[in-house]
Amino acid sequence: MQTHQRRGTIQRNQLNMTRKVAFYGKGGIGKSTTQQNTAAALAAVHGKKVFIHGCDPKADCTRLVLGGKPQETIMDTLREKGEDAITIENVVNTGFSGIRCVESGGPEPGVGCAGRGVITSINLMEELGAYNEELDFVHFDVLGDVVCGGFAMPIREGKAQEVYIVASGEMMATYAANNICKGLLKYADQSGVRLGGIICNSRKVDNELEMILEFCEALGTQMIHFVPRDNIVQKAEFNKKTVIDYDPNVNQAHEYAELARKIIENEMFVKPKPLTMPELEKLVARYGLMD
Amino acid sequence: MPLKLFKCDETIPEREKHCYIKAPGEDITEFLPASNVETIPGTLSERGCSFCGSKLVIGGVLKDTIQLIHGPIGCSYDTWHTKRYPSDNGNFQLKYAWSSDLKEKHIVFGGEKQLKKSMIEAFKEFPEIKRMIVYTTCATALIGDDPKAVADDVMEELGDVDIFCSQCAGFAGVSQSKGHHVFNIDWMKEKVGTHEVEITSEYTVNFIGDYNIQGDTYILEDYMKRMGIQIIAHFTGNGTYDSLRSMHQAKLNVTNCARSAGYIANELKKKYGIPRLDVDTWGFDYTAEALRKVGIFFGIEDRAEKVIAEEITKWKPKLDYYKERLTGKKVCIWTGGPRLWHWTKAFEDDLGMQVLAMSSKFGHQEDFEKVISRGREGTYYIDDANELEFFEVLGQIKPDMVLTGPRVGELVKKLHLPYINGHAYHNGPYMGFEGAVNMARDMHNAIYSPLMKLAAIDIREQK
Repeated sequence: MQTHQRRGTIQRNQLNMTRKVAFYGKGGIGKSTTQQNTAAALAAVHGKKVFIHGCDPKADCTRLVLGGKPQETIMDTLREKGEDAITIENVVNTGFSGIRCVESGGPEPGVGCAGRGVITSINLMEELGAYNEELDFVHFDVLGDVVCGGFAMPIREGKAQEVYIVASGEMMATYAANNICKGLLKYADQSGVRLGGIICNSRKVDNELEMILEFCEALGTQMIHFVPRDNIVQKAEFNKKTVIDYDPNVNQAHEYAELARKIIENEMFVKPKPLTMPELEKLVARYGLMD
Repeated sequence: MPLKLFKCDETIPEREKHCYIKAPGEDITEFLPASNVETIPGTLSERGCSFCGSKLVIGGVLKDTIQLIHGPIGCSYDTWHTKRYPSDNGNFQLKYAWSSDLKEKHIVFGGEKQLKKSMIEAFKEFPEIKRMIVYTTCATALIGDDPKAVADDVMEELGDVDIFCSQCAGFAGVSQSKGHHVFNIDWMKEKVGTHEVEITSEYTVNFIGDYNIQGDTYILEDYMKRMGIQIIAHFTGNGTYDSLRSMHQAKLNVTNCARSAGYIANELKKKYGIPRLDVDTWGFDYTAEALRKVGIFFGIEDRAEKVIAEEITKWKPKLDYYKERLTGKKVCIWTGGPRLWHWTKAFEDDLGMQVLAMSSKFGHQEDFEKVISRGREGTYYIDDANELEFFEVLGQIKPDMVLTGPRVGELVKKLHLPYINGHAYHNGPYMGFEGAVNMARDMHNAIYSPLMKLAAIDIREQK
């Protein structure tokens, strides 16, 4: 398997430069949960300084880190108080283990342009210098499907350089992951963004691990971690907490710490090779029909 | 000689398809420039946007209607006031511009609330005005705002108002022409037949495709009145919203601008069986012909001849004065589309002038068929011409004067050539017998004014 190592990645890490990471994945796959649990592990276990920028109009990408504290979103502030009222103090909150959080927010479903909201809020955060050099990681947590240009904003020039796609062995999650790779490829040359790997958030479907491994191989990437299914995640979520915050001693906390470690040490950044529809269908059918 | 590639277009050879020079013996079955197609990258197109075609050309002329532009503020200003179409009620339509003034936050969260607020506010500011057209623009079309739903809401809330929505974003077509089309068809679908005016004559017409540029409509109305004809609706010069809702009542559609308003004439024919009669209301001979055709349709030829005779007595000597001085003068017509075929032969027949180059911004194939049939041999017929091409043409034909818009006009002046505003006129009206004389006068004054010659003298060296 050929790896296209991103230029200067290692040097950048050694110089302790900020790594900007985007999380994509099918809606409902557990993307925001995984993202926040990873952030918590990066901060609490590995001592990293993390900043989360939620790019979902529902504004639910920082809830576990902030302990359910309702956060005024960038777009709410823009609408109610105007652009001048948007300052780091007003819209950025600090949560568990010093993680800094901001939410783009956006319209209710069916009106306006949520994509434009993502563009506007990322631009505003950049202008204000919110993604500063002291940070180790900036997470962009993006709405399920890259439905329009706005949701591709986090992987454009100068923004996230690495992408992790949260997927599972379910058919639709694989389709979505493949689609996201197509979108990513469009930007790979102009912005240098690369795929860092697939995070398998297990749904305990048959042959899940094998299928994802083969899917990753076909894409030319790695399965960076297999996160097993564990009800503790839901329990922690119910308590508005990440697993490490809720109970650092459970196995699932170690899983997230492991995922975080692999991300820190990751050196495999590739331009993915998305599958054609027939290829993908063949893959899914083979594992789905196996007894 | 078939299609022509300008020297300045060597890097965009696709432009060759858009320029034709008519050769002796050729007709339109052999050569026709490509038109109404996408702009070629690299050419400095002068086309307008589709929203502008709907607002500035057609809807914005109405004299009793609030023109609310649902979009960023610039869409409003840039389609306001640049055409001079007065009205007999104190120029309400020229005095004001309305906008929902959308900002970033409205785009993100949807602009419907802001639209409703703006609509209510506009009606409140102008309590005597009960009619409104709402235009979508690029931004509001993209985010999927539904102005019709908002309009229904406002109509219900206010009770005594009527609102039409023109849903034609700037990007809807290859040029402003699409905006004309959309306005025509949507108006026909939604508003024609919803109002009736009192019928006062057995001879009724809609006058379609004249926009009262500097008072054109008044002249045409006067002729119709003297022939005993009632104009149900004027689409849209000096027109009212409700008169346009009554277009189904007319017996004949007299159509001047077939490009911007031929659609509604066709639709009225299809739905109500009202015949379409195409006329030219620019030009001395053409106007006489137009009145004769209308007279023949209603069997009132005598009335038409009477008006024609009166007008000729009054204006012919003046026209002859200018004809003597304009004969043999060479001109270019660089306007939107239809004026090319309205004017070229009129200038030749009425004034003995030669039209040596014509360019259309948004004309369709049908317009080029007409203009090439009517135009001279050796003349340039260009679709969507750009400034560099204009300069090349000027260098080759060395005209005495150019009829075009103010923007190209200012460039032409740099070569010390006079220009006449072909869109909004210099000192109109230009329609009818009187208008033909006005136009001849303006062309005469432009050509014979010493201004351009004086401007060419460099006085810096003189002591």
